[in-house]
Amino acid sequence: MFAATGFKVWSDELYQQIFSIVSAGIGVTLYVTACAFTMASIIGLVAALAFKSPFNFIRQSARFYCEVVRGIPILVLLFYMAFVAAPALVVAVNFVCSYPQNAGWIPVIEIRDFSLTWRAIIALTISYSAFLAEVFRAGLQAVDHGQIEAARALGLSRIKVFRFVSFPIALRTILPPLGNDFISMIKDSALVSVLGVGDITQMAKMYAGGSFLFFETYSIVAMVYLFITISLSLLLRAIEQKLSAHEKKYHG
Amino acid sequence: MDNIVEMDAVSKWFGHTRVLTNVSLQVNQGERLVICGPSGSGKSTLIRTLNGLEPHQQGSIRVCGLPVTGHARDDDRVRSQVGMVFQHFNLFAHMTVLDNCTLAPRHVSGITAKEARERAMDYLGKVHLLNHVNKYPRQLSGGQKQRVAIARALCMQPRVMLFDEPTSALDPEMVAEVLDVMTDLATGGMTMLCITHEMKFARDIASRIVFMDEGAISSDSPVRDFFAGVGISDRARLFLNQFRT
Repeated sequence: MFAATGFKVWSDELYQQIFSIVSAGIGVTLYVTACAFTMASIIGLVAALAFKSPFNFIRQSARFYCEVVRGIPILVLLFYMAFVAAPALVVAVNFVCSYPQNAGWIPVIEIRDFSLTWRAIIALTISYSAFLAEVFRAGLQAVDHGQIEAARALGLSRIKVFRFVSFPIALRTILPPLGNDFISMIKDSALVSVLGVGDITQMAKMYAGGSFLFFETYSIVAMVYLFITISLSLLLRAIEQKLSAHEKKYHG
Repeated sequence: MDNIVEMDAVSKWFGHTRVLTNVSLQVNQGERLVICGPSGSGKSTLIRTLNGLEPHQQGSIRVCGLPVTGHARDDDRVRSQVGMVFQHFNLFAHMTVLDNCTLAPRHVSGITAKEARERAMDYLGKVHLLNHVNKYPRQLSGGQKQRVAIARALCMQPRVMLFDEPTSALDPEMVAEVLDVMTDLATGGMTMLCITHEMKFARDIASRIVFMDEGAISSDSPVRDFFAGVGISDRARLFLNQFRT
């Protein structure tokens, strides 16, 4: 059935046209996902480390952040970020920078200068960082304590123990859930279309709205997403296999 | 600077439980101590306080002339001079045998990758593992793993080696290959502190035997006196008798 549909897409002029319109959004989808996932990983990792901080205040703050973020739907967070937090942030920045701005050293920032794409990226980052924090925490917790102790006993500093021992081991453990979250973020990035960011879904929405070719358009959209996610899961599986070389008992 | 280890009236608590009571111990360069005693007597804890893996609450510890204080900066300096071998090997599972051995020399001592490699090959040769340098720990037997762990510690060119029951997790067949390596090390003049239940090995290589009981050193005697039962407690004699039968 897949092959048949594929053949129809490539041979039919209408489908070709829809495909070329929709695929203009692939770049935006990938860009949004890549930026948001990278930043969410960094924040998630920091939060995971904060969970283990010796300072109660830091631990509690990280906990609070994750609980709050995890409890808000992504779509709500997206609207909140776009129409409440982003304008507030611009006002705040202008307030802080009012002195150099009055002196004419740096320009005043307008709210519309803050692109909707980046508002969307920040919203996705925040909502995913809470989930990734839990993933990282689980991974770090699973690292065999004996290996950390051995590294400490060799004289490696705490930071180097993390860099060479705990983190690489944890990363191998959490690669499957991390990849899972990456793929789900590609799908969730479709939500940015509600802000008018020109991703795959937005392109399709506009085209279908004008031509009323709903079946054709959304079939193509579904297939484009499917193509991206399936290629990614194959890639992830390959990486996983490469990184777990040490788990094979024998060579070859 | 003849004293490699100086412990002075060290006490340690886990919560409310006192696990070390007024332990004082001096070890000179080139001495080989075997520490024995019933389980729970504080042998492991004693050895782990020496490189700061367990903090102590009272008394002072100096190793290779450097104080063990519980501050990362002090303790990291001590640790780079003290090799430690654990009961469960604790090899880095995601690294090859060679990488296990070069990690600390490169990133603690700061020697080049090439030098670290040469040094690692040298020590891996001494523990007879040159055929396995590119394998991962998973692919090795217990005895091989423990020999890698010894080579890994030696690659830091430590002034003293601590062994925490290095053969207790091994099949009987593999105990000998590890003890052979340790005997080589002892004949080479390495200062060693070993916790072990291998009394034959203790008799062969030790210069002193420390018997611990209930968190305190109950006797510290030359190897011949210990096995002759001279100047040791009844508890130690009872312990020793179990190995005679």
